[in-house]
Amino acid sequence: MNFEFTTEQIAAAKSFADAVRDRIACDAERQDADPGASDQITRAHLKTLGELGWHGLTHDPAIGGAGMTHLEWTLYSEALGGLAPTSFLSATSAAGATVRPIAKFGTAAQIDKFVRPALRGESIGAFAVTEADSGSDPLAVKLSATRDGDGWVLDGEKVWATNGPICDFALVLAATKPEGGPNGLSLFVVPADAPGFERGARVATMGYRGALVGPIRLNRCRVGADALVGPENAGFGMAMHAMQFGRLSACCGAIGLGETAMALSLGHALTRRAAGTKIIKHQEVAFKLSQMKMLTDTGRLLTQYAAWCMDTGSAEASAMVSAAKIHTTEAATKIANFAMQIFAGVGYTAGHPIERLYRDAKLGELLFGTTEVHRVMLAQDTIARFGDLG
Amino acid sequence: MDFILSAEQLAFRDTVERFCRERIAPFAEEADRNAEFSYEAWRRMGEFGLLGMHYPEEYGGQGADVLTSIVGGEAMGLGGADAGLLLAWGAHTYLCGDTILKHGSEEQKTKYLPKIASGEWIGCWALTEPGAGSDAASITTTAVRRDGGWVLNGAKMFITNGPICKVCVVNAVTDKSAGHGGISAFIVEAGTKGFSSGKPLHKMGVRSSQTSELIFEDCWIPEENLLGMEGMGFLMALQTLEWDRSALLAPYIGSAELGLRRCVKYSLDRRQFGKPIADFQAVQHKLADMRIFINAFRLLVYRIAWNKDQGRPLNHMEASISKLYGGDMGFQIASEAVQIHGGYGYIHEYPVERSLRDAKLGQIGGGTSEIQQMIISRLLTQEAR
Repeated sequence: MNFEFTTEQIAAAKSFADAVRDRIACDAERQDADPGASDQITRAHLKTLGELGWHGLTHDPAIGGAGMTHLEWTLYSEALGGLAPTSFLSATSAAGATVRPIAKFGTAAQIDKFVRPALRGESIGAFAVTEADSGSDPLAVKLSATRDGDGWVLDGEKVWATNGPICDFALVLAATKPEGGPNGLSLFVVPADAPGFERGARVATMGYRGALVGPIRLNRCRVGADALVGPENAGFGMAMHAMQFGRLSACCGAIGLGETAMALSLGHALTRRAAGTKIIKHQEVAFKLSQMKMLTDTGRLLTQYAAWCMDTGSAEASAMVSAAKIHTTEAATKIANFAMQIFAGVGYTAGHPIERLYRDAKLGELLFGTTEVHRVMLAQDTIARFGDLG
Repeated sequence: MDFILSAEQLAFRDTVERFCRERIAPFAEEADRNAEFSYEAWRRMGEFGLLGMHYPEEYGGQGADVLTSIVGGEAMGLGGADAGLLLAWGAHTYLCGDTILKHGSEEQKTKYLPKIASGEWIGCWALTEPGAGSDAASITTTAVRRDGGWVLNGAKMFITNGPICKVCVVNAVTDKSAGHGGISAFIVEAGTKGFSSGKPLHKMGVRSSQTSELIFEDCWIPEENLLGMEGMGFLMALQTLEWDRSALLAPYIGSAELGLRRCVKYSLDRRQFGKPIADFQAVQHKLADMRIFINAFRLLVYRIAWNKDQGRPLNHMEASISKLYGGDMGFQIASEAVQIHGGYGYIHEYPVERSLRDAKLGQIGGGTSEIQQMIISRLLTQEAR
């Protein structure tokens, strides 16, 4: 048992956070206020993150990564998620969820062509799993891939693909065996310049407004045999592997947002005066800050534990990631709400950081499986694990 | 950073759990219903070595580190030892015994600790008064020098193990003008003239623990019964309270997990509308929340233990967060456990009913949830400066 990172680990993560503050976080407000400008900004941020080595942190050094554990990686992700939410979201897909199955299960050629440039921040991937009628239930995927000579023809539409509007390639989950359930899905890596690949327009969203999320249409898009990632009909498990990473990212993003909201709230409470005293002297304010701290701290522990379970290949990993995601993302919306109460009218003003964080926070409970889906999954694991012990 | 328990710790956990399930838990229901302390369960715990796990071996303890002691505490809860008994254990082992271990003279340690570790002498610790709860520095019990010793006058309230104690560590004012620095601690033995306890209080939960008022009426004790240095009582009390916010929480982790196991089993057995109620998402929701709570709470408490084992002073932020989360969420979870059991959960025969009553104390004892929030917000303010 050891509850501490090393001094070196903490120092390295801090210098990363400082760089993010200087080079990325400074644009966060503009990305939100002027989503149209976000294309270029986000592209530049992803390049910067490549230079900072962020994309490759958990990847194998053999392919340009740093070989870091997920546990240590949470330090970096919290920082980026809290300081630059929009670019964090983009980055978790660009070279995160999107390239992980390729890095782990892909061929050397696929790794050279897609993974290495993505880790450098020079190429942007889109994670294309969700469909209009297939959100939390990936088994309902309709986009089809049918054999055509020695290649494949992909046909259908994905929605909510992060980085869809600016992607250079996409990781696409497609149905290769009708009625095959989880064993009828395959993963394909498709370059954006493939014939029939159509990037949809950015969808306007409540929060993460600069986020480049949109549909991807594949209109009888023909790809070679080399587009298949891993074995045929093994796509579901690989997509889940990517999803797990996405879920852990969501935890870190939520903690980071909470930290930011809490720091701003504390600063405000220590300066703003009401009824003749600093508002932190009012228990209604002080106790909200205490709740924020408690929620953040417990969420961080759960997330670190989940990351450690992933690193050690624990059978509990999926359940613990669900537990952390439920807790941290619900905590983030609670914290944002407390922050809004503390800032009151000031925080409600358009363009105020609290107003933005409040809108941003909500996404955590929705992406990579809604809170509801995770509760059901966690409960099923709990029933299986504890059923014989009662 | 890692979250590995050693093979020894895991084996210890299993051994303690089995021992409690087989030898201690059978006392629980009746002890709660009759609000009676189970001396037999206590004797067995002492014999098994659970009443002084972290004391050095020369004082009759096991020499365990804090984390291992906490794993043991968790296992006691998981094994079904009732919360009243575990509260008695905490007050005895940590509040009374550890204060003597940390601050006592060699003579005091040799005299009291082996008998505390064996359970032969039951210990209590007295700080709270009828008029001084969360504001502990406002106590009014006095100790005045006389005839080569001290004379105590005043009353203490809500003292766990009060009616059954042999050894009482009591905090009293020795210099009213010195504020915090005018409080000192003393050891008073049952049977000392002028020392008496009130009738056991009828409590909502943790009913098998015996709680009462303690009364000191011109109670004379010799000089050698001063614990630590004169004027250091309040600082020592704060250190003692650290246990309230750490090791004493450990059994609640185990109790909560036992509760979850019972809820899973019940919801698989209980059928409504043609299927087990475990198939309903409303029930699943509660089970998921229980799982989250248990894991988060365990991590919080283990972190405190690990830090203590590194020889560091208690991190008050971490301790208050643990106490706040464990108390408030623990009560919510206990309430949901009753909800899953429906009407059955509301009757005494089902242990979830008892657990809900027991869990309420988590929000009150050892500093209320409100006090923890005061501490957290003060620490946040200090950190910001």
